[in-house]
This record gives sequence, structure tokens and C-alpha cells, in this order.
Amino acid sequence: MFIDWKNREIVFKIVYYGPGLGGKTTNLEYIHSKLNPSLCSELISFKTKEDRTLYFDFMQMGLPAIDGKKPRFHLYTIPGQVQYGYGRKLVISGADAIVFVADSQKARMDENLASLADLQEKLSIYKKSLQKVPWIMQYNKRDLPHCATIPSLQSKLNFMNVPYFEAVAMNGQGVFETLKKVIQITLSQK
Amino acid sequence: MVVENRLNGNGMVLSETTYRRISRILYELNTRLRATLTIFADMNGYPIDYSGDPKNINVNALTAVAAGSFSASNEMSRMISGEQNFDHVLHEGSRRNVYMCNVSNDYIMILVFGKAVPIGFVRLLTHTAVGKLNQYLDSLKMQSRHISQFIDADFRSKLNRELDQAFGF
Repeated sequence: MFIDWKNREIVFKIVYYGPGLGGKTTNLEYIHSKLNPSLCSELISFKTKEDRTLYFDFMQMGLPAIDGKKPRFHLYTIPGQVQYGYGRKLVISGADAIVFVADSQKARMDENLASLADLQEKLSIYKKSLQKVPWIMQYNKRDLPHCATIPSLQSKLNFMNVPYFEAVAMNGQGVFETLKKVIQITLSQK
Repeated sequence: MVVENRLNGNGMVLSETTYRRISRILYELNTRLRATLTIFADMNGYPIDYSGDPKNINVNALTAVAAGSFSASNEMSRMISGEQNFDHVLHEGSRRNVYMCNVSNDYIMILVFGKAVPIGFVRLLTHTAVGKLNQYLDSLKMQSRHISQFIDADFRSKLNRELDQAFGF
């Protein structure tokens, strides 16, 4: 979090984490496409030729001043592919809150678990942990066949019983609900 | 004016005096170089202050990308030499260049300037400016601040309403 007392701005960094192809970038793309353009910056993406996130995606969302104080949110995604660990380490630095975007498909459970372990490892570099950083869970791709049940996902992934949302990021289901919740828990811990 | 930056869980406060000094250094550097923009930011990508006219440049977005680029360069340095010692990075464009340099390892200076400005001149003046900045940053006091004066229950309640409006709930 960063407070600019001169300009009366308060800036939060929210990071979308999770396995590759889980829908992190899709979340940001939907947010960007639906928000009033006056409230957000352009969406910056570093992508490979295969349209996979190479480095990170970034956009800023701002809200009108509240009692003269302007809330600003920097939204980042991380590159989910295993080989881009350095990018994840960079992006997670200074995060105020995290959305873990899990892929609901049964076949992706191992990737979800590996990504959660990776998140914990990256946080530990900065002497943080999932116990200390506000985070929530988003179970994405609920529209696909062969999805794990919510109780199954909860028991395997949500070991800290953080708030969770079901989502279909492609059509926006659960996307703004997730974002609102993560903002709320970010502020509640300040 | 105070800038607070909770870098890696620590609270950092720049006093009014320190902030003014930083602003002055940025202004002098930007003016002498006739640069488009001079940004002083932290390594997490938050701009602390800038001098110049951003025009169509989104300072927040540019700073986030620049910090990422600078960190990536240092990771390359670590890979080839075992240590992160790329203190300067230059991106040359057809009309404008971007020069970045490390400040006390926690901060970064980002300059956007035209092709007519010699890079040697940029490095020389930036080196001098960084020296001045280091002098002030060394005196920074690490301390926690009470955030409650900025975020209270009333603020959270009003923010919820703004979020509902923005998200179409």
C-alpha cells in the first residue's frame, strides 16, 4: 500500500495468482472491458506469441474521491507457467492482497496445489505467508464439464477457509464479486 | 506532506522536508536535461514523485512496467554473473529513450528523454542526482503509522457504495 498524502491518494496492489491457463488474465480483461473507461487505465499485457502471459498484466482502477481521498487499485496477474517463476517473485513483492484463481477442472487439481505451494514459497521470500496476507479464492471455469465439486475444491485447496467465489471469467460471472471482496478484505486489515 | 510506503511490511515515512528535497532534485534534473519526464519510484512500481509533463504518458503504468523491466534486467545480471549489479538500464527508441538507474536498492529513477540529449550527459547528471537523493534517503526513519486516519469505518462504507456503482451491482 502506498499513500500519497499530497495528492490524497491511497494505492493498493492486488495480485491475481494461480496456475497457467486458469483465467487470471481473463479476469482482468473482463474487468477492463466492463468498467467505465474513466475509472481505469489501459490494460498492459506482456504476452508470448501463443497469447500466454510472459511477465504480468497490469491495469489501474481508480474510484472517485471519498471525503477527498482517492482510492486507487493496481491490479496485476502473474505468469502462471512454471518456467516464469522469477516473474511471479517480482509481481508478488509488495502485494496488499491476493486472489488465487483456481481451475475447477478435476484434471487441474495438481496444478492448483503446485501453484498454491509456489505462492507460499514466493511469499516466504518477503517474510510473508498465506496466514499473514489477505487472500481469497476464486474457483473459475465452473461452466466446464468434469469440474470438481465445491466441497472437494474447498477441502483440497481452501485449507484456511478464506472467502471463495465461483466464477466463469469468460462471461464475467463472479469476476466483480471477487474483486469487490478482495478490496474489502484488503481494507479491513488496515 | 508525507508519503507512506509499506514496503515488504515495513512502514516508511518521508517527511515534508525530505519530500520537498526529493521534488527539488527531480525538478533540477528534469530541467537541466530537458527531459520529458523524471520519475522517482520504489521497486514495487509505485511512483513517489515525478517532474515534467507526462502528457499522454500514464505515470502509474509506466512506473509499474519500468520497475518490472529493471528487475528483469537485474535477474539477467544474477544469471550471468551471480550478482544483481545492473545499476543502469537504457532503452533506446526512435524518438525517445528511457533510462533507469538504481537508487539505494529499494528505489529506481526513471527518465524519459528525447534523442537529442546525449546519454553520457544523462548518466552524469543522474549520477549526481542519485548521490543527493541517497544523502536524504539514508536519513529516513523507518516507523509505523496509524492508517486509521485515512481508512476508517465511514471510508469503508462509502467505498462499498462506490464499488457497487462502478461494478453495476
